[in-house]
Amino acid sequence: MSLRIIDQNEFQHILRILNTNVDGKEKITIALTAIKGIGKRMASVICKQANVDPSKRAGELSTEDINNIVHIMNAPAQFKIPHWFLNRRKDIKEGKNLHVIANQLDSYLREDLERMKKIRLHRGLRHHWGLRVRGQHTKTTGRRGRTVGVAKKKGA
Amino acid sequence: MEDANKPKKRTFRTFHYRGIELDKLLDLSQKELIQLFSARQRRKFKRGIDKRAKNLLKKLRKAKKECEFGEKPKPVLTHLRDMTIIPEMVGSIVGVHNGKQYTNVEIKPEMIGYYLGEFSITYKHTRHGKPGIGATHSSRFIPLK
Repeated sequence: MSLRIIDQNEFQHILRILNTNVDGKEKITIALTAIKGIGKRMASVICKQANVDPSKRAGELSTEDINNIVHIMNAPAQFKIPHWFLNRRKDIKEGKNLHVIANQLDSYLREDLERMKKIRLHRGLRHHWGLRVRGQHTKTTGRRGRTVGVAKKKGA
Repeated sequence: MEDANKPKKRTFRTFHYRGIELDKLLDLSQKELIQLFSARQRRKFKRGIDKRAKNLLKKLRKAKKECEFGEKPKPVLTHLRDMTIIPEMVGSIVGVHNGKQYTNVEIKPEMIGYYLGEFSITYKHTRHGKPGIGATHSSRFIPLK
């Protein structure tokens, strides 16, 4: 670990990338994981493609570095990130291999659930009812949300 | 919805299954169609479809032909809950058995790639009533009065 003298004025404590707040104090690869849809592996690949030194802190990066990173995040296939790395492959509507991040992720998830509900798929109904979808037994598990109890008889 | 580029037709977007529209889907050979499906459906078609499924498809085609224009075809009853929905079946009405009765399912294009059985629920969604006495450990000795 080498000590580096950083200019205090240029160090950004919180960055705003893709509508998410990214902590500037953490190392860049870990800091990027704050964005939904980017995990540790994806973040390190993005940094490599962007030619960013991964031992830097996120606050130290210049704006053009950050723009570079965002550019890669939005179009990973163009930057030689293999298709099996992406999180939404063979999208059911468009058939393309997408990598969805941040707000997009949320909206795609909502769309998926809506679609399942609309066509009355069993999976969609389970989501709608708030039950387990993947075939788990629900008799004794998953109690956190639901309470089982007997009402006490009123006063004796 | 916006659709400023398609003012003449209806306002909804055309249906695409993995990037391909319904008419083109119908033109695809079975091999090409399977490539669009997910792994489980691909495996199912690779391992072959038996006679009963082929019969079902024949019946569906027949029902579609016999129905008048603008009306829905007659429901074709089946026990084959494990039949994957192919583009050819879109528009038909299938009565899928759920163990006891036949649930009429109108096949829409969004249903392609799923099983017939997923649209015919086999159980009645339980709405629990109030729990009775003895349901929990704590309530077992209360009811002496």
